[in-house]
Amino acid sequence: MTMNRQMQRAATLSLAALASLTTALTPAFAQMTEVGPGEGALSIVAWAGYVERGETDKAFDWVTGFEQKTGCMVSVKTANTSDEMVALMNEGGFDLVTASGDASLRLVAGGKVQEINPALVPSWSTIDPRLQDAPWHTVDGKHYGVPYMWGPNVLMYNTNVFKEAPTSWNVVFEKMDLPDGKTNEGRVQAYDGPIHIADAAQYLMFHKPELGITSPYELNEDQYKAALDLLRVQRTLTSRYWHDAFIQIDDFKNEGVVASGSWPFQVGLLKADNQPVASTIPQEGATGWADTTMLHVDSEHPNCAYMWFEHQLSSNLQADLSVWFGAVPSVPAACTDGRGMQTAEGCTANGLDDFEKIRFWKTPVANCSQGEGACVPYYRWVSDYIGVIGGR
Amino acid sequence: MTSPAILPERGMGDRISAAFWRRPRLLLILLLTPPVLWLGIVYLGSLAALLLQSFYSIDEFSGVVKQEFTLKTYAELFRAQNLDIILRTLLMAILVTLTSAVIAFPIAYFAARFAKGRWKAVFYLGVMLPLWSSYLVKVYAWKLILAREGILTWIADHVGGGPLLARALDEQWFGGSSLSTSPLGTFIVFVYIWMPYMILPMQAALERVPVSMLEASSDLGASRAQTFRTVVFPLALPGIIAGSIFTFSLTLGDYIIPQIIGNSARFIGLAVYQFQGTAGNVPLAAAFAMVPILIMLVYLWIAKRMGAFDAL
Amino acid sequence: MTAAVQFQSVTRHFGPIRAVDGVDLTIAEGAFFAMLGPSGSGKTTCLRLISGFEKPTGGTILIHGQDVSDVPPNRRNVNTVFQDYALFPHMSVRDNVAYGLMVKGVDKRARLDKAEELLSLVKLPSYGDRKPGQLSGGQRQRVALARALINEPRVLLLDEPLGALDLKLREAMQDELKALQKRLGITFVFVTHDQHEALSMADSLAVFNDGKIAQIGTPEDIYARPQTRFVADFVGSSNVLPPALTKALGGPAEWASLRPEVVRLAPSGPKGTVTAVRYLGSGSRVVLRMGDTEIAAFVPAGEAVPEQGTEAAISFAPSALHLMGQV
Repeated sequence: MTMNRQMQRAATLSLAALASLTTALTPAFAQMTEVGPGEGALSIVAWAGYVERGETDKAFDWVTGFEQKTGCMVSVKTANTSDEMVALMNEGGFDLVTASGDASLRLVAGGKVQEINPALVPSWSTIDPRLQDAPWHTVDGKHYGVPYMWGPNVLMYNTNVFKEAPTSWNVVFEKMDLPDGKTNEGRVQAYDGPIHIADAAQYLMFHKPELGITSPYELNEDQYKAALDLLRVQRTLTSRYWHDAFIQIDDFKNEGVVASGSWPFQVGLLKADNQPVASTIPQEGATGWADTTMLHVDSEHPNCAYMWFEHQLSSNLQADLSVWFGAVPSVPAACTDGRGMQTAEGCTANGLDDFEKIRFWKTPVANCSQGEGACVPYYRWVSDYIGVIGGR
Repeated sequence: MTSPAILPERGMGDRISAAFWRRPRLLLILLLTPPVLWLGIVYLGSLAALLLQSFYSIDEFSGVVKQEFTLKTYAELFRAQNLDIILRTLLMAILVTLTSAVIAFPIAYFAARFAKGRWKAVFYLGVMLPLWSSYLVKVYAWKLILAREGILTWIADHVGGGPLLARALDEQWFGGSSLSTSPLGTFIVFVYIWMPYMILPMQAALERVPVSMLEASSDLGASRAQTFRTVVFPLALPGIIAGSIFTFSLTLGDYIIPQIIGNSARFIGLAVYQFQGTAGNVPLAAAFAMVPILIMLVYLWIAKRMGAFDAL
Repeated sequence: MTAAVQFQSVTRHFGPIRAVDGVDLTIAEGAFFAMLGPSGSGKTTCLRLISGFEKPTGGTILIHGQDVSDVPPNRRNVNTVFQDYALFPHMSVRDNVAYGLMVKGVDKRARLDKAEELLSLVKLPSYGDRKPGQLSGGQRQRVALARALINEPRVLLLDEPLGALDLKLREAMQDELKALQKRLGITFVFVTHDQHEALSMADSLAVFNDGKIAQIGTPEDIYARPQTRFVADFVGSSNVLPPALTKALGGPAEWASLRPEVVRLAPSGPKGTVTAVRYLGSGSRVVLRMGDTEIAAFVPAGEAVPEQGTEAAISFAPSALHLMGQV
């Protein structure tokens, strides 16, 4: 498919453009073997708050130093959902993407990202060993990215309503009265992305073991149906689904929302605004994201990209970003070695010790551990979740 | 001393106007070529590309578009959840249009009949002012106005309308936990945002109805209601249709308002936005985008059958 | 015989403007009554007061003896032919004519039959299916007339009905309107600024000036015996003489009017300079300047016409001077 498109493109190009054509084709065939001089620019598709240059808060800047050192000027395109990231990479024109596990394998399968060469990233060995060969970026032993950051999808709650942290996700899944005596109807939110089906599946894994769910990302028809049924209950409780972090923040302030799955990012911002919120990982565990920086197959700035790979592992980025976003560094040393603001306690608070409790986002596929074609694939998750939100 | 029968040419300008005078079509061609090119290539071209895309499909896992002709994508439109989106949007567009027409009419009528001089300026300013500020700012402002802890709820509570509002929000079809998270809120904001597009053409149409025609009707014995039904309304109909084409098609295509106000249920515009932008499913987005176009064609056809364009 | 329309000290003010200023007026039943005056004189407002489109600021209006001050237009048995005809563009000619019956709830069959009848009356029998936009000005005028007559009003109001027609058509329509009025026997009240039209059609007329009636009477009265300079000026191509000139010409020191056709050129008499000569067919009209005033005289065909710029003398019978008082 990729070849085909490039052939088409090649046919339309004149001889004079042959030089640029060959550079466009080369990365598709093999990984890089050496890092040359920087090309002067680097464009990154990233989650909001992932690539900060001190403009939101002076203290948080892990871009300026990189630009000064390498001369690669960084531009960022913010994406709100994994689907959006995949779409942007399919469009092309970007070098890197901070893809979560539910996007990374799709990018690999679509031929939109290239294999990377760990030997060209000197700090590769400092990566948390649990992440080095993680299945969401490693296919057939080949690495398609460099781990960036990971963290849990926490349960954010209003501390005026919950004097003690809720111990179960049931507050957002089942109709019930909250500790303040009032119903949870219209007072909870859920994530506006199909991957949220996995949260429901994880809840069922704990409460309905008879379904036999082993991974919330590998659901057979029955398990899938049970998850959707649970989400239909949730629809009746949910006033609005969130996909934009700032709209969720506003809803916690002005809409009387008191509990929702969320990211540490929103928790941090609301706390900083003196709002009565806190977060927890309930007994069922949590889904989480583990993001990988991946290199576009047609990247025009591969040298800058490799310099960024090294930068993201070795600089203040890991420590400061984990503080800023409420996440956990992919390089454990960043928690303790003082390269940034992060501390051992901070890492623990953000979930470093919960790694085992967290089931990381990954793209559901038909051929899963339950057998060939046994699981419900992602495209059905997409259309069915739209249906659930539409009240069907 | 007599003056000459032919005046001397005063330069380039005279020569050009003489050329146009001799060949009037030349001017027409010169004037029409750029817009026709624009329409033909940019607009119709992109429309054709859209149509073409809608006959492709997407590889469901990798999200890469397969460029092979198929009707599969159109069949997907008829999946229950997608049909829901279409019907929901259609219903919203109809309600928004009817409500806009009902609210806009007295305003337009007043402006056309009674507002003179300074009041006319005040009217135009009042109607256009909301159009000057950013659309997004207005929608976010409405999110705050309609919020559970927003000013509208506060007012309702203080004038004793609280129970009424609560009852409306309990309604299963359009209710929610607050106006800002209910379809009712989406509806209110749609009506507000598109209102000027209904008022202005309506006012223009009403202004073209001569007063003498209303007087003639009343003179011949018609009551005000009869005059409205048999004279004012038919003569204002082209304006109402023009306005409704705006409100109807804008509602069909909008993707910002339902994203910020409402209960997250998808509308066509939002579905197009999501499918092409966040989900990368351009073929399905294209198929969805064809829906409003088809609906508008049917709409215009019905309007024509109703005689909306007879008075043009 | 009762009056069809009666105005008792009627005024109508628009802000500071007194459009109608204390008008007393009686229009006899069955009359062909004209309201004549320059634009802004109040004649149209008077018509609109009768139809009900304007409400009087003061005074009383009676139609057939009944006070209509509080009656809206749709309940007055009075119909109007509008200056711009005001035909409904979205309806066929037949539906336009039948409109008055439709809003009364007359059934379709009966009202369309009646509409056909009226279309025949105005000599447009086969035009029912057309739209007003497909008719000529004269035809539209007839449709407007038919539409206004379908309710069989006792008073028909016509607002400058012939203003938009060309000369020949206008003259034909004048005769037709007159004949129609005779035949129907209803009161016609029509507004015009054209003195010839008013004089040739009306049984009686009122000349309006500045919101007031300057004179009311038969065409003969108005033309031959204008009571004020304004009427003399506006109605005829009459000569208006200031008191000094009247005296110089052998009358008392009063304003006077003098119709051109009685003034002839003579070998001797009061002299003036010829400033304009116009050939009329039946003779020529010669204008002489005498002091500050211009006097028109009539030279019958066959007599010598003086050159422009020469001097000429005039003569007339002293009884032809119509005196209008000191002011």
